[in-house]
Amino acid sequence: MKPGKNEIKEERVSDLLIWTFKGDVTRQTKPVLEEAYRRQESHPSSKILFNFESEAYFNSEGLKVLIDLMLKAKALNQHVAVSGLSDHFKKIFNMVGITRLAKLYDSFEGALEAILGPDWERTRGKDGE
Amino acid sequence: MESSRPDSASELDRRIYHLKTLYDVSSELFSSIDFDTILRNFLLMSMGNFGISKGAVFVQKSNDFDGARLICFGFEDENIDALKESSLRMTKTIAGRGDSGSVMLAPEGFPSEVAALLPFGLADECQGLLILGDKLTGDAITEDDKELLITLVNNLVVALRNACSFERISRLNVELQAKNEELETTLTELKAALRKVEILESIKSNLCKFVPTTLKRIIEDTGATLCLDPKECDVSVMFLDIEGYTRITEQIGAAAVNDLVERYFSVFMDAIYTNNGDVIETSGDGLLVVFFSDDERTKAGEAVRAALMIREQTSKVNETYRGRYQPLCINIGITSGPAVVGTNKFESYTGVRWAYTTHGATVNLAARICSQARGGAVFLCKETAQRVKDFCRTTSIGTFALKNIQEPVEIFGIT
Repeated sequence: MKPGKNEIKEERVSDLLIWTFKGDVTRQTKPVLEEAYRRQESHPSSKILFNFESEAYFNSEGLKVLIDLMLKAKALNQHVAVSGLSDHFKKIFNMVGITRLAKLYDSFEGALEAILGPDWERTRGKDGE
Repeated sequence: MESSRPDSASELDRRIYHLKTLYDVSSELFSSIDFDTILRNFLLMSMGNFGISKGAVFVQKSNDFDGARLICFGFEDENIDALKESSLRMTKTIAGRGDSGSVMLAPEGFPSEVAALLPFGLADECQGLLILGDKLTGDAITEDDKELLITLVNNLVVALRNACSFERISRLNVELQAKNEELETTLTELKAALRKVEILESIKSNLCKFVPTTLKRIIEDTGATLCLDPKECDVSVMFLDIEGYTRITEQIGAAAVNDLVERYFSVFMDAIYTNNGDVIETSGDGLLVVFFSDDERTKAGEAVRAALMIREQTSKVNETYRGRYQPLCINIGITSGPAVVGTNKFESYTGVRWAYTTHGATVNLAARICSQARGGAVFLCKETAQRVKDFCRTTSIGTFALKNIQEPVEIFGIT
């Protein structure tokens, strides 16, 4: 099921936690993202993938929310990746230094392949069953 | 795995994003009127825009530590006090120096994570400081960054000033509301007091009909300090009565006599009051009138003038009743000398009753002299005759032994 606006769909595949987020990332997003992060703290994954919509807009406060979460993850040695950004926001993420905290991928599938390996579809299907 | 290198961010994207940030910050700041909310939102957006993980904003509202507000993100707890103290020192240093609005390096005393400062002034006694840590990229703050920061801070200053104005207006509104409530209470109390005054005025105006004018004047003049203890003073006293009152009452009946008394005494009032007299007591067919003017001869003269006017008015009223009633004769006795004037207080279990009266030998003598008069005569005691000799001719009509008065009394008539 696809998430609604300002909702997170959470999926665990092997040691990867996938957060698929629909909508813009602004102050209103903060409680949703922070709650998701709190939830995983009891069973932390070593890898987290933020999957955004390509048309998602990130305002500066939204970026601050992401930076804070990524810094927390970095402190716990969690590897963070981001997929689904538009070209514009890939540049912005790079400009503000988020690329120092997370790896950016052009597509969700590309990110899964890079993180889970070429058999990512099977792994995902198996974990999903 | 793909990632963008730092130098791939195009200038156009950066400028677009900065413009968008400026728009977002302005929209956010001006959508709130709460001082702390404005500071917090501004700081988060600025930090997000520049990719800064540690930042703070400090505002010193008055010249002491308690008046300072510090909102910060990312700093260790143990550094916050040092950050606040350094910020306070800094704002005191820059106050009035005119170097607000420019980005500078952090001086000594600030925690080492602080990379840059941007002071700003809100008002003469209100300075602020934007405190920024290092960028995530590790890059230094560029001239373009400074330009945007200054523009953002200018927006912050306007928003904070608006918030201050709103706070002040709200406070004034609360004060105004309190004043209005006070006024409303006062108005209600005043209305109640006015109603009481109206009732008291109504009671007063009704009671005044039964009270001597002298007493009314004393009460109005002295108010709450009313002191009407009897005291002796010099007066002229006029006593008048209707000759043959008992006989007339039997002939025409009490009701008709009452009408007659009202008719005659009403015209006497004009004569009495135009000559500064005051009716102290009434008793059926008689009136006790006292003249209080300061000068002895004046008050005696006023009493005699009043008596002559009463005699003249009596003749006129007699004319109007010709054929219906027998003409009335009003006999008058006038004396001058000391008398006790004031209140008598009678206290009992049923309450207190006050009476304003005059008594003494001068008053008794007036009644006795009046009793000697016949056919509407005006008789004077010797003292009164002495006092009015300059404007009125008097003739001794003899010396009389009067009831309950030891010495014979010489009585004078007016010719």
